[in-house]
Amino acid sequence: MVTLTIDDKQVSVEKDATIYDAAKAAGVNIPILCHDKKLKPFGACRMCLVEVEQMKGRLIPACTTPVTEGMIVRSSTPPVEKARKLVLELLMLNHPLDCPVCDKGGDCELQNLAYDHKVNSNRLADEKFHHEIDYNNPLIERDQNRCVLCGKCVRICDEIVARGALTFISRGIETTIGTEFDGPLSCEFCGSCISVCPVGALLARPFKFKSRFWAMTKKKSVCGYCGTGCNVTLGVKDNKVLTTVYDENQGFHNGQLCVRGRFGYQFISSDKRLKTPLIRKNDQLVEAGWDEALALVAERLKGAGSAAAALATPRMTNEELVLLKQLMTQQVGSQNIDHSAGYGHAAVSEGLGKSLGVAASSATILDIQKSDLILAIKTDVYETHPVVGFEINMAVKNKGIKLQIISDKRGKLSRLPGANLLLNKPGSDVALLNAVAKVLLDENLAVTPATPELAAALNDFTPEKVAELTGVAADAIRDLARAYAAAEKAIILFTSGLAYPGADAQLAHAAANLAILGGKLGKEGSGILALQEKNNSQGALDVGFVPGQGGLDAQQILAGCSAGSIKTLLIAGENPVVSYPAQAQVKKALDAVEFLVVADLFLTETAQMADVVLPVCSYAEKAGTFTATDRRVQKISAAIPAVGQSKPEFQVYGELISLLGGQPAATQAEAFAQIAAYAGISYAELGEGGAFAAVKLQPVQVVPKVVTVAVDAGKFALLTGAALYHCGTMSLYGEGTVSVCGEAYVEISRNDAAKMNISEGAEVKLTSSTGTVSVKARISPRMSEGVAFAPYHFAEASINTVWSGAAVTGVTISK
Amino acid sequence: MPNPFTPIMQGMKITLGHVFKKPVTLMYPDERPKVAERFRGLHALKVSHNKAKCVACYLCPTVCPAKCITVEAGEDANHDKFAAKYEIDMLRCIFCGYCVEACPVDALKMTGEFELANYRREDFVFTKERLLEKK
Amino acid sequence: MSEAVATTETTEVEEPVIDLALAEEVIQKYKDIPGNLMPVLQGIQDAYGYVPRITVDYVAERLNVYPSQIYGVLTFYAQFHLKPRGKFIIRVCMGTACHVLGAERIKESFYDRIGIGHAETTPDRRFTFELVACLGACGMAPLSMVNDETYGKMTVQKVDEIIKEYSSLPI
Repeated sequence: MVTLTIDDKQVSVEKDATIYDAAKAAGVNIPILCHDKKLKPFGACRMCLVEVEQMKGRLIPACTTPVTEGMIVRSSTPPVEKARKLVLELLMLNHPLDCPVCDKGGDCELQNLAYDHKVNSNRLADEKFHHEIDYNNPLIERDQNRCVLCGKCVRICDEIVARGALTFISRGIETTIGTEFDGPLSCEFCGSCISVCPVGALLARPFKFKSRFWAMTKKKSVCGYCGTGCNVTLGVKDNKVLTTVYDENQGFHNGQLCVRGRFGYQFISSDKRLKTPLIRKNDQLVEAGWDEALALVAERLKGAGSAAAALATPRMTNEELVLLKQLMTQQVGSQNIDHSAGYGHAAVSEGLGKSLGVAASSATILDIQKSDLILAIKTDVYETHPVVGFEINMAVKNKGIKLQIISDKRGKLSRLPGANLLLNKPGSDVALLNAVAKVLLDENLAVTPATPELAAALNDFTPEKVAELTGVAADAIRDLARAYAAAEKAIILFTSGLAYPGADAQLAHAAANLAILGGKLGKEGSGILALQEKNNSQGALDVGFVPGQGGLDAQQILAGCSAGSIKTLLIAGENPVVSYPAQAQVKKALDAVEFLVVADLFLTETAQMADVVLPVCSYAEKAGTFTATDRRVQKISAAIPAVGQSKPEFQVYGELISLLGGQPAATQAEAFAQIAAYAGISYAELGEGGAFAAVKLQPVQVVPKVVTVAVDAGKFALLTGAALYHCGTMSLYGEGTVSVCGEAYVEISRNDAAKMNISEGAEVKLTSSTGTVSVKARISPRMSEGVAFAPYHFAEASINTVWSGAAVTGVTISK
Repeated sequence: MPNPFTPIMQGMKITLGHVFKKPVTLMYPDERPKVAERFRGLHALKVSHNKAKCVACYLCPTVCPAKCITVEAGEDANHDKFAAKYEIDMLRCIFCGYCVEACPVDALKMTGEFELANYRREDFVFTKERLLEKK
Repeated sequence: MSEAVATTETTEVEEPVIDLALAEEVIQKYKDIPGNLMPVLQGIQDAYGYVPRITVDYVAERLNVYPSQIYGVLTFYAQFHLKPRGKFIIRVCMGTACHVLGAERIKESFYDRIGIGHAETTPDRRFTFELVACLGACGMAPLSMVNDETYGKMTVQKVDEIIKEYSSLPI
């Protein structure tokens, strides 16, 4: 600790702190433009100049100068104020004074500083810039005339996003911020650059001219897309969500968001939202009242017993899931409840459930930056959970944490400095993990001895044998095992969900075995973190929204519908027609079932087949809790009133329970108290940032079953997955995300494209044993020869026409 | 005791004085009043180059104490900001003139127009078209 | 506003076919040295005469740096050129001494003869014309240079002679 004096206040700070940090700790405000707490000090703007007694004769930038013992700092002496005023005058010299039409007005740091320092006139005069404004992409507008060259956008794109789309171009007065060869911006569109821009040089186009900053109410919430559990602030005006507002002090991620979190909000106030319940009459869905619709549903559910079933989306709150479960199991008397198509949660519910003794991840997202080694299974970790990806970027780039990747394709993660990629053949992850475990045993690197069963099972997985199977060199497997064992703390990440049937219980077992043998469980910075797809996937497991005793799982429910044993199916928010594998079978099942009820925000492809459609609320319109993938329980509250006549599902299922003679929980708190996994957490006391539910580990070594996947010669190994811009099928209703990624596509390698003479964007036909689909081709350097990748979100040209739920599907690709 | 006739005389003096002065009343509506130059009457949106000068900066609705101004901005073909909607509810307006004072582009003025009576409530909501300055 | 944009429009010099093997050779030489971006780019400029766009993408992929970052470096230093350059680089000094002694007329004479302005190249890639701030030989003002050859006390007649001399050389 170092003690220094700032404006006559004594303060003690860490020895690597800067004067700016110390001033903040002392409650002294030093103006800044180019500094950001998330980024490395840069010292570009010279707004933070201060006087230091020991360094008389010149002014010292506070944001880059480290503190020393006994330093005496003065932050606002007349020379300091004079210098700051001059800096502002120089910045304003070329900065256009178009605040009335600039969306940043009211939230602009330059404006605030000019006001604070009373810069109402300029002693200098120069021409303003006349750079062309970049309107080339639908999300980010770049106006270089307003730029003050603080470099925050360049640095955040490098240090946190690791994309490096922006850079300083030229030098001196001609310096601008731009892309290579001044081309259009082609990036992930996470909008991090917009969030840190202190002026209006970078603006969000979907929000352009929608409202002034001060006219919006800022409502804190939790993002409703993936399982990361990012906190968001919604900008609300006239009962509409107009934008997401950046708040650098929000959440573990300091307000960082990905493209869907920042630009995918439009679905909330979309015109396509369902406004009234719909009932099928004469084969037409017609508008109806709630009473009529609920009475009809209640009548069908009454006494249905095991002929009824429910599929729910893990986007519902915990409390809603509690009520729906109560409705099905107690009032209807059916144990047939499931979510995420069954296999989507198997890695955690069954895999970690058996291996760790609890159906939850042992590590949290916060452990990533505290680790020594990150082992990512599939590079998709970045695409499915981009903000977790940012954590990995920061861990690797800023802290030098080692990154090992086992993946069937390259990706953004494998481009990080020092990343070591083991490129394996599709579908051979479990064998590869087993081989790593085998090396741990063979080289006596295991901390925990293996059980005889496991040791015997692993005998088949010598690095040499597995090398042949996976296409990874035996030495690379050995090196990975040694690196994993040598790291004091190591965390294993893998992604699971609807599009990742390969991330099953066996993969979870194999990963858990590695952690158990390596002694990497139950300590900070170590363990296993399963990145689950939806915002409340973990909550759905904690509530126990899985088949009860003798109940059917999702696949069996659909089979039951086709067979006629399930007569009434309630689908809450899921869109199986698009997101479940084998579209033909799903459609057949939904056609066959006698009575189909769908509760959703939109008239989805599934809802179009329903007999009753119930309009329900988005996360911005309801109260409750979400559990992030690392078991962080967070509370949300309504930011806007319900759209149209839609109702929160908590109310819908509550009313149905009452209609069937039951007693629903009256309040969210009451329902929350029923969740055993959250004993010890009080709903009322859940604050911002939430609380972690306890994870009690009872590790067991389970022998994973290895299924080898063979793709016929001449066929492509088709991998399904998630695109960076989407999560499930809901983001397809967010205009922002659709504007940059709105069409189904398949990624193939450069060599394959050259061989088949396929050009970028050309329409290609994928044919498997179950069907054919026509999609756009994308030629990507990240794919290996013979491997194709297709995201599963798109209803038009849905990939589930050719994909029937296998981790790897053999397909032919033709023009 | 004062003279009881004195107050009466004083009163008569004033009365007689006024008899020979010009009348202050007007034969409205045949006779029109001359409105003072800085009178705050109906608003007008100034026009320049055949379009409203207003850039929809939202300062007038922000400063308005009666919350009677509704602005909605739009983006034109040149990506410039303009007021797609500009409405003033004259039933709420208190004619304080803060909106004119706040306008950074001098796009708003108050005219001498004071005859704002109407038959229906909705007619008191002046849309952009009605507010545009008449030349 | 920037001049770079204007020049790309006026001189569309066709980009020759780029053989990436030359770039690979340079990369191999500096591959494992930290801070190798500058020498690699200099090596590439030596090999091709300028830095072709396709090599930027190639270097970015091979050295795992952002293409934008490379472009930033290329535009920061005046020594890098992003357009093919002529065999003969004509530099006309516009410094104070040369300006006083009529550099403006020398510049215009060159423009009249070869038809290109600052930082432009003739379509046959014979000449590249550049205006420079000072060549450091003010005693010889007005001064011009062609490659490493210096021409002092320039006159309009001398411009003709220079053009004639270099037009006859093979390229």
